[in-house]
Amino acid sequence: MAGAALVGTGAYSGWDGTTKVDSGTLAAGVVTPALLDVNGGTFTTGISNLLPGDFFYRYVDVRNAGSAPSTFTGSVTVTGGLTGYVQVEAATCTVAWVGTSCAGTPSTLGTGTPTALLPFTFSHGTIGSGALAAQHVRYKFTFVDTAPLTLQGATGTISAAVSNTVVGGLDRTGG
Amino acid sequence: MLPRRRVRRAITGPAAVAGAVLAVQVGALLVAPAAQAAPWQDSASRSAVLGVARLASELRLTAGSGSVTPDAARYSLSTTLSAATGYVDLVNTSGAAAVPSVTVTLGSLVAATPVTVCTQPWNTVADTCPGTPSTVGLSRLVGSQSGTYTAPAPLAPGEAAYLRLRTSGVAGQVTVVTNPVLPRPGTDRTSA
Repeated sequence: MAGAALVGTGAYSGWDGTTKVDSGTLAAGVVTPALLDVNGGTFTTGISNLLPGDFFYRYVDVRNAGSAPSTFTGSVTVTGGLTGYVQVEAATCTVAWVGTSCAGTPSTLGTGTPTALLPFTFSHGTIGSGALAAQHVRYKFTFVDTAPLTLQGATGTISAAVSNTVVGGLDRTGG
Repeated sequence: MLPRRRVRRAITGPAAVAGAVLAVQVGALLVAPAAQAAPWQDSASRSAVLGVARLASELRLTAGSGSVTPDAARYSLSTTLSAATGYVDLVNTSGAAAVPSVTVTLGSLVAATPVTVCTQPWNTVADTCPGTPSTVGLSRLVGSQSGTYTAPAPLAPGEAAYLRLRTSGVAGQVTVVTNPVLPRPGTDRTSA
């Protein structure tokens, strides 16, 4: 109330003039993660007739196609009859994977077995924007040795996802 | 005359309550964290379909005597006085490479080697093995003999082990029963 009263009592000048300065172009940021097939494989290629102990690799580049570096989170889910019987290991390489080999520095992002209630989640860390900053990820999926005989003929789906979050609120005075 | 004392009286009643509320509100404004910008979030995902193999084997009579049950899990060859021969394929009908196995039971103690396995299909006319033959050893039991044949290596889907069952004129009965198929060891399926 007091504030309103103060505003209301302001006096207006009799001389009035305006000038303006245009800012540079302002553009909203973009948040666009991407999972790209690399290393000669395709993530969506299905596999049939799995047996206990079978494993396979899938390679993707996690690319930040947005306009600013941001933190990425990965998750893997398994649905259908294979839920709880597929172990996942996610690893990165500082350079592109060639076959199963990493000529740079490999590191493990995490290992887990997704269940019906809990997907396997892990952090990709911060990924800069652009193709050169893409993170080279290798997923290893293993149909566990302990899978019971009752799983014969079962089918399921594996899904890998990445999400990124950009939080604003920064002082952008300098650009 | 006594000096008049000035008494500071406490404010009570509704005025005090209103003051307290105002103080709390002002305090809340002072300590409230700076408002955060709403995060922008997006995601991308890829999926693939997986399937688990079925494991099975079956017996197929290709030539000679004897019969296979409708479920293809049992072969029998019975004779009384005359000799008889049956050619039976043990086929891996699994969706993946696997190791089939059978148990052979001979209801007589006379014939010592009634079961021979060939790596190639038998020439049933000449009764010869064009590949490498091997004999299934049988252990003597009370009134019978029994033995197990297990493929020495995983067979691809549709591949078979080729059995020849033979009874002499004195042997009573030969029975072959399939055992559970053993899956091959786990392997890299990245490209298959």
